[in-house]
Amino acid sequence: MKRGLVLESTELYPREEWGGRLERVQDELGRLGADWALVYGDVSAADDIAYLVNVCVYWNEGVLAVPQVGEPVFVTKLSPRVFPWMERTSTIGGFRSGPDIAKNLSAIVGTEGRIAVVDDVRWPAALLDDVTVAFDGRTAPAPGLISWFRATPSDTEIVMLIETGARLGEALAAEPSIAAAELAMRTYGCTDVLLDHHGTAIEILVQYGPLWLRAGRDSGPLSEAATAALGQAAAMLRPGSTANGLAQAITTPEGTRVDLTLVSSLQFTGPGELSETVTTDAGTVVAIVVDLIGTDAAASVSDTFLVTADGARPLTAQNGEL
Amino acid sequence: MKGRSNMSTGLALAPTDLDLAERDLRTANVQAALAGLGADALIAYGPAWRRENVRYLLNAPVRGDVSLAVMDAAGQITAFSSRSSDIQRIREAGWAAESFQLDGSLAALVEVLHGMAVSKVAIAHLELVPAGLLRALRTAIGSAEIVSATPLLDTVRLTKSAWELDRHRTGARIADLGWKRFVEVLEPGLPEFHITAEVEATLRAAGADDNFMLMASGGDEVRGMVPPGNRVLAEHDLVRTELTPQFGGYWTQICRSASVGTPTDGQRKSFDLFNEALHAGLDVVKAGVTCHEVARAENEVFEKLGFGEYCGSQWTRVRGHNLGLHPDESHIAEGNHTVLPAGAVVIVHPNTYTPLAGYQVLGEPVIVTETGYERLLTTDVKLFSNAEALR
Repeated sequence: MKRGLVLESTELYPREEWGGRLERVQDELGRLGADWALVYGDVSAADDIAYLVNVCVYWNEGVLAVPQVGEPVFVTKLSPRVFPWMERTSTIGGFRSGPDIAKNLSAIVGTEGRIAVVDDVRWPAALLDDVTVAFDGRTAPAPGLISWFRATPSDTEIVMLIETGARLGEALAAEPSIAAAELAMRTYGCTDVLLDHHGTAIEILVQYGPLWLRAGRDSGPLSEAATAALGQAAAMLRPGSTANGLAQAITTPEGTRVDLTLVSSLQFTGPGELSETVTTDAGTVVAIVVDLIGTDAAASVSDTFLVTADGARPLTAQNGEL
Repeated sequence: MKGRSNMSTGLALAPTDLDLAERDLRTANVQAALAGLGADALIAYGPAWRRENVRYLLNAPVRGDVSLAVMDAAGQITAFSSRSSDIQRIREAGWAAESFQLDGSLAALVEVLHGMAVSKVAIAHLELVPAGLLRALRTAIGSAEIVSATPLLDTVRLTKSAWELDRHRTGARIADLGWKRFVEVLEPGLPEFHITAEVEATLRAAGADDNFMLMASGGDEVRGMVPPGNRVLAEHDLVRTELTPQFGGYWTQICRSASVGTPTDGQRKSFDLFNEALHAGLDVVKAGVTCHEVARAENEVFEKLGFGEYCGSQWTRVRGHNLGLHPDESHIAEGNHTVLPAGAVVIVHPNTYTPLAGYQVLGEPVIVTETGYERLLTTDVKLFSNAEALR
């Protein structure tokens, strides 16, 4: 569950930025001929909802109903006792609670209009069935409607990514215990800190506001070679790069092989982990993950980068590490 | 980099004889339950926030956002995860016969299911399976019937074995340490989220895999608990938390409230009310009692003292709940007639709002026994104060 700092919307971005996000999505709904968009999220994957209105789905699940004109409403199974907090931290004032999400959505959306179901394949099938029945043929899938916008961070978000990434890089460079890394990143103000420790490798995903960063280090015998390989790949990362292209261009010690993965920031958490589509367009955020496998040892290292017009800016790597 | 020997691993060690005996016990229990459903295979689906059934069958701390454990009619388990590092963890745990990484095609899963030739499949957390994944499952199993196994697994998991209770006991020691740290750091001017950071570091250092935690600070205006903000503590604030470290997969919860400085009269009166309700609930806990009966005992105290209206859904959620591989198992609530078996782990917590001091929490996790309960925590049941902690 999310148990780190939840900032109020205006502490994250100016009102105009929130307004602009909603306006762009509503414009897109107009182009699609839809009157509403329904956006599903659970505690592990609610970044579309956070991006649009800064509702923190700290536990459980819910659906954001976004009208083509007007203010979105959040429908959730969470108790109405948390609505004053959600209203204070988010950009919206409309909330509805109850065990039957589809029934509550029906009451909000009404009996007229067309409804875009955002990323329907990721919805729980049972809820999707309920919604499809409730709206009786008025729904249509809208893959990537919100994630398409959030794939490219704004100027304000880039500043946050740089600052949070620097802090994550420092936490990892300090040869930390997991406890020290948790303390450093949560004291910095991260909403979520996810740790994955396997063998000699540690990987940390941190969330600041709605933004995620990912970095991994290794303490095993192949760590230096893996870090060097990551550095080579990073130096070559630019718009249009592919994992295969980067993997073929790096050199690794004799007797080892490398698995190199590019991970879009949209895939850092949630069902996006299964997505096979990775975009390295200028302005997007990606992680390079290098797994170096030897005869008796393996190492895994990773860092997050902002792809620029002619290269990539490291967000989590410390100076001199790459 | 070097030297991470002090890191909490969260990793399963190579299976011992006791681990494998536990696996066999679970397999037998699940197979018996499946037979009652007439199903010839079980699929446990684990989204990132509901991995309890996958953990129950694999005993591995999977981290993938999509994981599954498939049990065939013979009780053999095959594991799947979207994260490559999980495969090693699952192999080290040694409970699954085979394990595969999932990619977007879901080909490995489809192939295994296709080869099982089943007629009726029970899916745990069927209600949460994404539409795209369910489509692939239906394709793989052909005309086989699909039914939900969610209640079935909830029931099977309710009674904890000695192996499981050992993990709860260790989790309780970690919860004691977390609450101690919580009180130690309280001081006027401290932002709420720094409390969580300090507690989290303490839990991790003590070996916790994860933590479920809600909190709130302030006076009688506080109506519930949520994640922390940057509100800074003030003198006479009441700071409340549900703190739930996970150890070896098992969540063990402590609920306490602490005053910043000397407690106010309202805070003391509020504590007395909640303490009486807590003990009324605990007094009726024993094997064979229903969750409803425990909740009723707690609520009767509120009613007797004129606070009965604050037992309703406008002010509170539940009067406690079972604990285990999920932090919020069968609820202690009026209307829930689930019978508590010996070996269940339950937290009794009459948490709610009253005008005395705002939202208050006080809860004790216990192991249900034939004659009563075994207390898990060593932390005192009292109204804490940072002033006292500093003395």
